[in-house]
Amino acid sequence: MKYFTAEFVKLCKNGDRKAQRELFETLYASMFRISQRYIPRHAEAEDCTMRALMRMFKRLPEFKFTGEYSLFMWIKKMVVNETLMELRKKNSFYLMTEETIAEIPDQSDILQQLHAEELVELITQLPTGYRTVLNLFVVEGYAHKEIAEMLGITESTSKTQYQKAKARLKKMVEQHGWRSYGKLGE
Amino acid sequence: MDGGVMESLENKIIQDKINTLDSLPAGYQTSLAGKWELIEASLEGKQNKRPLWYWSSAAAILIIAGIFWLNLRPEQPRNMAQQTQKTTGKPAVTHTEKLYTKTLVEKKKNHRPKPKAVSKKQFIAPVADNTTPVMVVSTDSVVQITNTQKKPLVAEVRKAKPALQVVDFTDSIKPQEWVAVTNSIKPKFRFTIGSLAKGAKSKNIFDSPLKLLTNF
Repeated sequence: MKYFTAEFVKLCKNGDRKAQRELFETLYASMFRISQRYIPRHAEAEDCTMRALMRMFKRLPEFKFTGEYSLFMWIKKMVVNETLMELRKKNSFYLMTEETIAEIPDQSDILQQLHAEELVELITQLPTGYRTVLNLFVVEGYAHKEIAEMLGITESTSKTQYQKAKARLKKMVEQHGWRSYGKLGE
Repeated sequence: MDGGVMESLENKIIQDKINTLDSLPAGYQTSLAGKWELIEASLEGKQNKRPLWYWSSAAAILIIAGIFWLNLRPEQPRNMAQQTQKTTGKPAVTHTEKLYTKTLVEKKKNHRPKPKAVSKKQFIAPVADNTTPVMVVSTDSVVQITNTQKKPLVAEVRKAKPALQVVDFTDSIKPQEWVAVTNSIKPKFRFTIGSLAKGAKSKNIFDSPLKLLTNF
């Protein structure tokens, strides 16, 4: 997670182009990654990232520095919101209901051995609704109540979607060839 | 291990792993310099937008200037006449004044019935000859002239050059636009009618700063 000093943030807020460019170049990859977790297609994720960053720079004077990570978290929130807006705009956000939740054993050892890139690859293969709720709950750390408000669904729907997403992810991890490794780790 | 705890542990692992990704994915190439230029351009565009107070101030200055100019307007006929004299070399002001006085005296002798009120920006002048070009010196926006049948005509004065004004009655000769004749209007403007046209056989024969586009 990136952090920025108060002095640096002040420079950016005051319109110092050099500092703003440094901020952009430092953040772009991370923000692109966030957007890509929700929208796997590179071109669309790139558009979302750029729109969010443009908005961020325009609203930067409003930002209040509260700590080293506050700027990063503020920008991350904007990227997530922009991405959700994009999903809503394209009506690509839908929730899966037909799937039953199967009991899948603990996979923390398997997950531990997974490479981050592989994990993201598996998450992006999830249906949009599952992927969105899983990202918001697990990675971004939002509570189900907040997710429900953000997506316009009920809290229980958010919980169900998360459980189904998690079950599907575990299943995919197994199918990915890590079952044997998981058994070895037991 | 408890299911909830295990789930939290798994989530923590996922979160930590994903948050370590701070580089662009393999196979994805992009120009950060180009992208920054786009953002910079959007920021510059925002900065170039004038704030509301800027346009309000500009509008206020224009309004004040307009009011100031309108207050100075009554002095313009004299200046115009002097300008005419300079341009043509003819005694515009004094001659015009004499003609105007003469015209008013003639009007009084005619004992016309009291007409309806007309705008102060309209001026009435009798025209002696139905075929003679009429010279009009005026800086006002509207000039009213009567022909030999005492029918008033109204036309707008169109400024062509600073020293040249064209009075076009072509489109104005309509009965519904006739207005009553009055001689009660003070000589707010100076003009010459007929005198400089004496002996003329066609319009626009004079090297004058003013032209009348219709013969009467």
